[in-house]
Amino acid sequence: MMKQLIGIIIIGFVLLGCAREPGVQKQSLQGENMISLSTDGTARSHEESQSVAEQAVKQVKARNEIRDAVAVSTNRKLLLAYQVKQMDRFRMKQIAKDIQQQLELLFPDHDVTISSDLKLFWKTDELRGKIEKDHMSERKINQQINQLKRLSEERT
Amino acid sequence: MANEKRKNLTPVQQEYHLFEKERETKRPVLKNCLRAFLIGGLICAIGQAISYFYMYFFDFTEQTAGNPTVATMVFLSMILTGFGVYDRIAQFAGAGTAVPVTGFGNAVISAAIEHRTEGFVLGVGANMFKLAGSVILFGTFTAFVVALVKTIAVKWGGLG
Amino acid sequence: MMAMFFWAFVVGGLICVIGQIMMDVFHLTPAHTLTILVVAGAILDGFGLYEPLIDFAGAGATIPITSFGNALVHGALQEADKHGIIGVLTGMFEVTSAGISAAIVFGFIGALLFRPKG
Repeated sequence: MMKQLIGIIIIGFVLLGCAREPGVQKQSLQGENMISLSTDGTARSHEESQSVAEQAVKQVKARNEIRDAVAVSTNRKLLLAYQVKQMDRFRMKQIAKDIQQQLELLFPDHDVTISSDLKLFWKTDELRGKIEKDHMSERKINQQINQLKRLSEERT
Repeated sequence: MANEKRKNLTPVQQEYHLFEKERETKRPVLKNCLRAFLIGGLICAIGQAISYFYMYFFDFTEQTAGNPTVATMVFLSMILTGFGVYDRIAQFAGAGTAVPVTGFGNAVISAAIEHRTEGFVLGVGANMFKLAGSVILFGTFTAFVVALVKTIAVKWGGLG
Repeated sequence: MMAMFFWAFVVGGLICVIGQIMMDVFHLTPAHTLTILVVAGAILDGFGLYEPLIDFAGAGATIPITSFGNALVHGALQEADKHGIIGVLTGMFEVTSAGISAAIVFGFIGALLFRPKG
């Protein structure tokens, strides 16, 4: 009995140790209200007006099937994450297509990335908070957006 | 088939057959279904919690959290199977424990443990997929046919 | 998020009920039941019906064994998209690997750790 327990505990530790990047985002995510945002879902800073992101969020939130949305933008890039209402989740693919089209039409000179993933939603919200607080440079935001875009494209 | 067999029986045997059928305990279908629903649903809800755990603390998205979740569930079912708890739950829940992926894990793991006395190669290795083998075989073959048909339909039929 | 748990519970439970009915009403063995469910999952994904269910119910659709068939088809189609018809054969286990490899590895570890009962 004892031997078995010890064996299991060791395996558990090995598994946990092998997992990716343990506890990096832990801090930044804790204690925040994950879904309902207190602000209007966009970031404002002195040098980087997030007006494009603000507009995009407004447009997307106006849709019936969207529960919440959050966005960040630079001069060339726009990243928008949204949450679909539970009963509309069956049509998620179609909704994604519609939103992509809508945003590309609205912001033709921006590289638009959208995602319905909850993880992307958390991450985008986190990035938005950082922009608001730290006044990140355009280049840094671009880097972050690229990173999140790669994350959203992972499949397996 | 059952009818043909019955024709060859003597009248007395036929009578007994009817008698036996009458006395056979009816399976409590409704009760079993309710149990399967509760336990099966609970296992899936636990799976959902695990996938949220992976998304919250690690860099997994909704899309990619599925794999570590399944692996964790199989790991849990190994522990429960090893201590004999899983079989006890399975007696209560029927399909509720068999249909989730933990049931697949349980089938593989219990076969592996059971045949360990016959040695690792001939026992564990040869018997591990005794029960789960058919699931893999038919799953893989159907998937092959379905994917083949769909690929051909999309490529040359202009569908999709 | 709470809605997600609720629907995972309901949808997962309902799939289990389907399995229970196949076992109780149609008197199939568990092995037959699981095989039919896997085949059903593969065919449903062929028609593009399983993915919306996963979007809707999360783990309620990915934890039952039906998702195994779905994942096999998905891997095959994904690879076929990239490499043409041969991808159907090579891509099959691309997405599913987790379930099977976990079952194999943990099965063996279990056999090392535990002794058969009775």
